[in-house]
Amino acid sequence: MSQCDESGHKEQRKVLLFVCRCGTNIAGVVDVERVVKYFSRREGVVVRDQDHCCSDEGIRRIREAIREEGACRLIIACCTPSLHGELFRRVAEESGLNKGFVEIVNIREQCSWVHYHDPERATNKAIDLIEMALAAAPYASPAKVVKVPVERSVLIIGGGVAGVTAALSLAEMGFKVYLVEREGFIGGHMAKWDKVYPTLDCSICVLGPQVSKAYNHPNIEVLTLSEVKSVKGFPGNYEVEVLKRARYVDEKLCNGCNKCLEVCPIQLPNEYNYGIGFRSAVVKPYPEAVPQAPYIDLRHCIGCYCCVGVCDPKAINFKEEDRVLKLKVGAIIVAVGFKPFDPKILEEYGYGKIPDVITSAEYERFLSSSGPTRGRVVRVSDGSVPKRIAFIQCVGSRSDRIGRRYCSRACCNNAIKQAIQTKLMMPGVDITIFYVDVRATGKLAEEAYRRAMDLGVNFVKARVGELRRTKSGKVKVFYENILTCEFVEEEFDLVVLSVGMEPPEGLRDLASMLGVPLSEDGFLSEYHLKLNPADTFIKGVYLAGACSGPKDITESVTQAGLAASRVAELLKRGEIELEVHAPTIDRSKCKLCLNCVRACLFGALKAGKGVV
Amino acid sequence: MTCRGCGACVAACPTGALVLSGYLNDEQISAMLRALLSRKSEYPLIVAFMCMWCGYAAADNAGLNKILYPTNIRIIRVPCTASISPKHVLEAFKLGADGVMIVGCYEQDCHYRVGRVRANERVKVLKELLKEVGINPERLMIDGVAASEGKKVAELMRSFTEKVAKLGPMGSEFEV
Repeated sequence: MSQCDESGHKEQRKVLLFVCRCGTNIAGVVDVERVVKYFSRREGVVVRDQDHCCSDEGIRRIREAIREEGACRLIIACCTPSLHGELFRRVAEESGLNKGFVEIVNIREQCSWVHYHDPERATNKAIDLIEMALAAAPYASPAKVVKVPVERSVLIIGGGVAGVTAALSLAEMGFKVYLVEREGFIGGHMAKWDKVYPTLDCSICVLGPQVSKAYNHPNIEVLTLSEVKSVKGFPGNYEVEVLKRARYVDEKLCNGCNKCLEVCPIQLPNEYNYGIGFRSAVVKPYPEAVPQAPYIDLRHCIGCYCCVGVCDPKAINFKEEDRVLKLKVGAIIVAVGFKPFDPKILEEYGYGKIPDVITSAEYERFLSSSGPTRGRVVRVSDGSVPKRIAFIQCVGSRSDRIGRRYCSRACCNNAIKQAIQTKLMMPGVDITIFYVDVRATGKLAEEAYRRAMDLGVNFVKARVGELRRTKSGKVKVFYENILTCEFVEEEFDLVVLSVGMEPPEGLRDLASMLGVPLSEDGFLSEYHLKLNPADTFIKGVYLAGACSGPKDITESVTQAGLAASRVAELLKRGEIELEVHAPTIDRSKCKLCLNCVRACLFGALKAGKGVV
Repeated sequence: MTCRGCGACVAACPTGALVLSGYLNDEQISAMLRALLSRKSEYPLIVAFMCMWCGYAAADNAGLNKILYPTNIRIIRVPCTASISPKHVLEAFKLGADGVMIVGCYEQDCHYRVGRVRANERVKVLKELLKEVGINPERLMIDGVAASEGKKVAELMRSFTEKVAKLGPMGSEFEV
């Protein structure tokens, strides 16, 4: 225990200063010896250097030093406080020093890593920064910690494979889960996929049971056609408003007979199949959809009541209204996924103008038995069977021109999968994949790549310059073969654009509602890319799936499991410790000017009572 | 529990009666400024107040991406730009800082909703005040970045350092 006497003279309190070398990260630029020497003669300061303060050895030495020296303040000059600040504060607390008396000086991210061009000045800056911390140390105030009870319930935003996986995991652990999905059905992009790489496993056969289990789980409340409108509160205690749009079909009464779908006279382009084929104003995109009850698209309904007439269980109710639900939850998982890149802005590919140029997502719907062609691959222009198919990779990925530098990670494997699937279904078909680099990574992916080559799929390293429709109705591909340096023109019957992933609609608004920052690429930022990929900078808000950057199904499921376990860690004890950052008031100094009450951004300060 | 700890009230308190716990308090920041500016180890020397959510995080991001910028800036981490007391900005100038930069979130992205807007208002008033006492108001700047914009914050620091260097040392405007 330290011998701090808080009532004593502020200047006489002993300060323990650790300067971390961080291998060569700091010591390679900042002259740590000089820094240590500079402070070593300072009265009341004990200075130590350490290779890695954050290591087991480092922590042990910090702990011992606090006890041996009877330090009243701990200053660690190391990496950013965002990285190991909490760790060092905890170590201090365990060694009998209040964590409010720990100050972290950032001499890595904000010094050595950005001033490696000038070690001399970087060292001076490090000394300055430590001087500042030393000067401030006597005036530090102890941290106040309160224990707050938490809601043992979780909000999961997004009902794709990531959201469903996290929901099931938490529900099985006994937490109440609200699974909010913007669309009418849960399952997300994976439900649209016919088969998934690398094994060509049937997508709905593996996803279907999971989705059904989630929908019927007693601990999970699935809210479809719903959007989060506001989030208030703090970790463990959030109040969330969810707008649940009317379905007009009672999910409990509906028996899934689908008669209403058949009698509806309306025909509209089917968005679920990206505008290919038709749907009615009673919407249920595929037979296995969950929930089994369709919803009614009231904007296009003409009010003929044909559906009401055929509905035996009387599940249709046009009087239903949109509702705002108020939920209390302890934590939030964001699993809103991605949006397939819309290649219309790449005019050279003629997408939207040349009918036989389609996206990989649309192609997958052709492959699917629940798709518009019931699993047959056809040309959109005339319905004929294509004999030559081209896949173009990196459409909307790895491009400076359109501001999407990142690799979307799943498209190479997906193109290989779609090519294999097509080859197996139509052995005579000729397939060429125009790639920039084949990034077939992941378990069994290389094997799938080789299998595609064995099946005769052509791989051509090329950036495709242009697509043009020929008079005979074929699509001409103009490309430069990067390996032979030749400009080539080749005709195909069907061209598939392997589109990348984009942040989904509304992600920016959701991010600012939750206070979670976005990364440069527009996806959500994780707390630490390597070690905390499911955490955000906001305690209580976690990430699962592609909303934090392109991910495939395996990665999304893995992250969803991690997010669920992070939530459980937070909520399982029924209460959490929170540091109080609310101000305290010195009544002897207060002149009751009430400036603070006016300045408060949240209405937390009330006149008459002092401070909340 | 309505309080979210932004510190806007602390900055508004004229008598120093309010103390925000868990972050640097008034006395600490004053002590830091005194320690730094009594040394003046570099010219120009710039004090930067950065909010922990965006400005400071962006500076960390610059570090992570090894983006070089001048060594002349000393960053002080604050919860929100609204918590920066005008007193400290003036104190920094009084003690001889050549420039003060405030970097927060973009107005619409403020973690405390309107904190950055409040800070803008304060900076506007402070600039008027600086003009009145004869200090070039260009020595004070405020801007916003996103947490991921290491490149932008490094660029802000570089351009502001150049600008302040052109203005000359603090106080040179008095020597007519």
